[in-house]
Amino acid sequence: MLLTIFKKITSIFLTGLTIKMMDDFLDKDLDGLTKENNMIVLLGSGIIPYILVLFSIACAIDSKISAGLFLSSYCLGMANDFTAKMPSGLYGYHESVLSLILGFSLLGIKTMASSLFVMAAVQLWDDYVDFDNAYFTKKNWAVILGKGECLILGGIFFLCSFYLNMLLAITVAISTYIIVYIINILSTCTRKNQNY
Amino acid sequence: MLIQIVVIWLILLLSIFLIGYALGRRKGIMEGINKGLSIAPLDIRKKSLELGVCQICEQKVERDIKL
Repeated sequence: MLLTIFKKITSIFLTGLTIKMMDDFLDKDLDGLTKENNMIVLLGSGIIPYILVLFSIACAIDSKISAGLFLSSYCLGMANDFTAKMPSGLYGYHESVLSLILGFSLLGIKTMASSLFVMAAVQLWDDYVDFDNAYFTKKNWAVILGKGECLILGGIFFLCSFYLNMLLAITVAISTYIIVYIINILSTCTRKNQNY
Repeated sequence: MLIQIVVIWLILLLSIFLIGYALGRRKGIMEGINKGLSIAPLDIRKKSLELGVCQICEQKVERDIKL
């Protein structure tokens, strides 16, 4: 019982780290200009193979949860670039719908829905925190909906995920804080090294 | 089981609160804009007359205004 919970927690944490690194890789040029904390900018592009290794380990531990979280984040990330044309030749919303269909058919409604809700909650929380820095962009939900609405909607999504899968929701919330904390420590260390 | 019932109630309450909050905020923003538009000309005129300087073009009043 305890071992199963520990395995799930490890899998969720590793998947979270993978998603954050992938997101940082896609935003590395913009974050480099705005001097935001970015793992790829800090550690270099050579870290990409490690991302795949981390995700492989997460999948080996618990494939359903890892795949669910990754597909959900992919679906929500593509939904942000709704009308942009992707390298596959498809539009953002095409890829978003495709990943949704894939997730629901391969992983089941409950797993995919809980992952989708918790990733949406994390996305909204992230946008709420970034509100002051991202006022000029249109990709921030706190700018589109309003700060209060963004926070309340994030709370509702988190509760929906909590209802479907308690362990997943709590672990994702804690993992998000830990990952942000790790990035802050890394950026502080790197800046100190650059100053010396 | 009890936790799940509490969570469902919380979701319902938050959803209702969100609808009210979002509608109220949007209505409030529109009311604020209309109120600002109606007050601003009078406020600018009042300050210009009090200070003797136009608040828009910063031109000074050259002759006394006879009331």
